[in-house]
Amino acid sequence: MNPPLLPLTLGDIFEKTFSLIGKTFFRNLLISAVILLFPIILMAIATDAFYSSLADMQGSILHSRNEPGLDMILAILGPLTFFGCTTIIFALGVLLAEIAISIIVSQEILSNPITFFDALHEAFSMKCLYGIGQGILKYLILIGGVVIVGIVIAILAAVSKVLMGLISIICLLALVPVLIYVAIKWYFALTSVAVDDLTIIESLRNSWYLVEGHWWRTFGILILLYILSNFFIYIISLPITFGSMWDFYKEYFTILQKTGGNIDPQSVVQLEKSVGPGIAIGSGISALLSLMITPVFTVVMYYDLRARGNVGATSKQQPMIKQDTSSEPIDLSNL
Amino acid sequence: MESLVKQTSGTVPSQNFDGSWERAHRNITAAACIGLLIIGVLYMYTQTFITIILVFINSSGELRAFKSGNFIERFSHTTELLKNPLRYSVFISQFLFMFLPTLWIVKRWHTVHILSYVRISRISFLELVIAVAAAICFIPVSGGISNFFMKQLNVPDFLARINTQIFTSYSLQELLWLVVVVCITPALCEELLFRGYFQRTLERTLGMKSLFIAGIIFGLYHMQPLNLISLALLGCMIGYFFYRSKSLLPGIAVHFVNNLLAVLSLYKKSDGNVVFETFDFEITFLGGVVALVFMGGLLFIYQLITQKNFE
Repeated sequence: MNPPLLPLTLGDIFEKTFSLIGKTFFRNLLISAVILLFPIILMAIATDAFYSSLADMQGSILHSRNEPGLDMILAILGPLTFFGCTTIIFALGVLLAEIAISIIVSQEILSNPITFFDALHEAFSMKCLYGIGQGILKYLILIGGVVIVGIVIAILAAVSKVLMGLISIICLLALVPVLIYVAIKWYFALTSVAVDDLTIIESLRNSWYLVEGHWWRTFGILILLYILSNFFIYIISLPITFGSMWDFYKEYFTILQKTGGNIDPQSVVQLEKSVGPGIAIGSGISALLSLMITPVFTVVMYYDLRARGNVGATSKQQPMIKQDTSSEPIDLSNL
Repeated sequence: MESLVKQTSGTVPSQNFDGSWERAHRNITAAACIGLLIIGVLYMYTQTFITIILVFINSSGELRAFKSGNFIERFSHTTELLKNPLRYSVFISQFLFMFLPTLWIVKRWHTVHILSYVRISRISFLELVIAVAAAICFIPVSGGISNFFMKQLNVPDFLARINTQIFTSYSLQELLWLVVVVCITPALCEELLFRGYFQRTLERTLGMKSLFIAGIIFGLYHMQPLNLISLALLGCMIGYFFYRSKSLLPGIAVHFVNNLLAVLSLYKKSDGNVVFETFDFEITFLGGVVALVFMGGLLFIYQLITQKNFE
């Protein structure tokens, strides 16, 4: 059983995140690389195929000046399906890596460091299925809310267009805060699976109760951490993405040089064919960098919320985790 | 508690680190990185926001009205319209959202003795002259590196010309305004952030490595992939002056001179010809090597004359 933890200030969260990124960086990088290398290569091939077929379709449309026919749509359907499948594989890879990294970070906080191999071994267990399960359930519920609102609007549209417009605006205004509220409440579900070995429903319930009473704080800190980490990821990945799209830019500037700015639409279509791998590599690098940071601050915040829940939780708010209050509290500032 | 006197080799009076970050005995490297990120985000977002507002106030009608012409003409026209709002927004946001927050972070997290911390301290005239001379030698080298990538990428000349529109002036009044915006403002604000705060704070834990990290981050922050290497090298060189002299002044001077020469090289007459042709630093490979050798010699001399700071 885990001993209780001490709550953290914002400065502590920043510092612990930074220290933990440093301590776990190479293990996390190795995990991300092992899990995501194959999906990134696959995604690069799929993106290349998709953009090539898209360019062919646009080229045919430009050439014949007709609307796209069924044969054209069918021709792009294959690469599109392949692209969709690789995106799902990539997303699953990211989720698995997040579980493994969360385990590493959690064990580091508990002063029980583990190797990347142990973390991988633990991630490829029931945790993997629970993680995927909570993800699917979470997004089905969130998307379900949007679908229900869409159906209501569609029914209203059949009755009156004015009514539809009015209700649509009201629904959208109401839906966005609700979606944000629920997304924050369930934000720690995956971490609950990774760190505390909870099942799908337990993890969602645990995350919900953990955030109870701390919603605004959690929301504010998450926004801040996401803005900061995305800025960092952007400045690092910009030159890498630029480098991976070097051939595309070179070709583009060569055409620009030759035509003096009057670019033929057919040339732009041809250019599209070479853009795919660069986009996939850029996305892959951004995802890798994101994995070095996001799961780390999520686990730190998770422990902070557990510590806060421990201090003033009512029986209703008590998280699923049973904590051993007889042990000495863990002070994360010792990290 | 650590004292500033220990950190700065006896160049400033003894002061204690009494800021909130220091009192909590938190990781100093984390402070440097998080502080830099916070200020970077604040600056980038507010600069974009101010530019949008200024464009909206000044020339939204013109932007909408201009729809004819090819890509180059539209791009050139848009750049021309964005030129002044961008200059104003850089000036405002660098002082308000880079300079002031850096001072605030130093005071809040580290010490109330801000000037000592960021090393606003006197240096000899000779140190200043050698630093500036080395920077002048570096300009053709950095220009050569950027040109190499531009040529490899086949960037059309007209596109490169449009890109430099923001630094181009056509009257003495415009030149003076550009000196304020492009030379004085970044020399003060960026140096305070990258050297005075970031490198200074990193130096406490990483020593000399801090100048390389600050230099690379300085290059990345400019978000110009083609100039990344030359900007990172310039950042490292300025970092070296900061590290050796224990003062922010050589960095400010070098940054100012580097930008000033770029602005002067783009000062044009009304007919489009440059006024100061001597500042056009396009040179051959051999010329670049000679400039590098000179620069190396000057850096060696700088190393010798700043040895007193390390004894």
